[in-house]
Amino acid sequence: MNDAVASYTVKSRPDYHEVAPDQTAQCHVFITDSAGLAQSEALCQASPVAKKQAWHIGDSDTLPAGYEAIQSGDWQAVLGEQLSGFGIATAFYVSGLEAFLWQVHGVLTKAGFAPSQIHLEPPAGNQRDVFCTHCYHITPDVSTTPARCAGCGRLLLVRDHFSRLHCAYVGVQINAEDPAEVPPTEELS
Amino acid sequence: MSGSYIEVQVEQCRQVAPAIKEFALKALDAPLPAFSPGSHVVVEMRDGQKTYRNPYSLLSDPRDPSAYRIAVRLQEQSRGGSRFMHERIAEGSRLRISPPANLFAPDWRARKHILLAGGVGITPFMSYLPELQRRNADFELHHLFRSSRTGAYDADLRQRLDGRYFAYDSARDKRCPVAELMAAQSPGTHIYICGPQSLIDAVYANAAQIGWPQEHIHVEAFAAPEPGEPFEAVLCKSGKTIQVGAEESLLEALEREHIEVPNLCRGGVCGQCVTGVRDGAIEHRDHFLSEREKSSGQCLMPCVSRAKGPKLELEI
Repeated sequence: MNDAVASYTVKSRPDYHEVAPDQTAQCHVFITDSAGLAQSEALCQASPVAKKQAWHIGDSDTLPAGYEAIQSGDWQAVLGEQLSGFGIATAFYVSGLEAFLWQVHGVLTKAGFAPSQIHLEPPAGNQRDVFCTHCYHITPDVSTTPARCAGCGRLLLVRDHFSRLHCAYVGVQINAEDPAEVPPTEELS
Repeated sequence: MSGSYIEVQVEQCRQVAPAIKEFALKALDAPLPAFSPGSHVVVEMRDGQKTYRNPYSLLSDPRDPSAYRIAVRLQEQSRGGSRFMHERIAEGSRLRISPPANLFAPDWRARKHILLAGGVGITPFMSYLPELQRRNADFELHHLFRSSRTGAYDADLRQRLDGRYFAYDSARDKRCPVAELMAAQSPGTHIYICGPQSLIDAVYANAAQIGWPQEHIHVEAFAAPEPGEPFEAVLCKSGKTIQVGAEESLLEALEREHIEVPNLCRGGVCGQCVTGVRDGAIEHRDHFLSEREKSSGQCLMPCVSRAKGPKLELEI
């Protein structure tokens, strides 16, 4: 894993490491989507019993003990409002699919928290959100390349360039010369 | 200093604290360049054969280019510069200064700015204040001083800033409760420190202890180069050998010999003057190079760092 990360040449692709609880933080906040729930729960149990808060974002009726639900519609605004009660020395642990990790990261930095306080766990799957460079539509949950853009229907080569602002990888038409040509599909890493 | 100089004349000088003098500088020919809050200039003082070059923060409103104001604290252990400014510079004196450079700008993403000034460390914040007020920014200025020596602008700031100003005069046994101050802040607060190393260390130690985000701490280190053992510097490319005295920095010795090395802060923080080393043990004193770069022994910051032995061979 380390060798693979070290040999990677695309600088914009985030580098994830195993997350350990921050022993100095005054309060610990766990945020997860459904895909990251098991990861989040394990980390939550391992962290010091200081002030804790855990949120599951998404629609699920069965949640582990201690997790509160935030429904998926407009969750970024709801989460943002909830954050006003937390002090400056709070540590955040985010688990889930990669796009979700960075969407939460965006909500937290907008609320004034620093990147060093936000711990992103390794993504809970290989799915990417893909930003189409032709129509600007973002297609969620893409796990292969090439993939069809849900906005304009072009067949996109999914690249490893990642935008933390858009929480998405860049996609470029793979068969612009001849749209009839359809290269073989590969699973994304 | 790098690049072009600006010729200035001292228009006014006044005592603003027992050990601090303020100087207003006017350009002789061209208008003074605009600057940003937190900027400094390097002032060149010619004292016979000797030339001092010291960085000083600009105190004036960044939007007022009619004159620059600087304040100089007389250092008890003066290497010559602050004493020269205090004793030899008067209204009408001429000096040369570098154009402004900024290594301590406010982070405008902050939701609140806590300014922590120790003694003459009030100076960079003087150019912050007009801009913070124009932007209606949330801020507090905490001024730590000893009124028998420092405490410049105390009365003026109290009046101008009202409830945003907090003074701690150690001559009256008033101490700033740094830990409580930090713990009470909301997310998005940034803290800026200009003052002695002990104050900077206290803030960092407290941050590490309570999980305060380190990237929200900004520091202006205004320490002058410390003296050391004299040594010999061999310049491999030009074949020159120069002697570096105990009281001067390697950078100053190079400048004395008319060897230009780009530089900005003259205090081991900006990284401009990095110089290659071919041979010789180095005493690293800067805050710029990484531990790995330091242990490689292949470069040093001549503004503060020195030889650890009798000789250094440099790649210049």
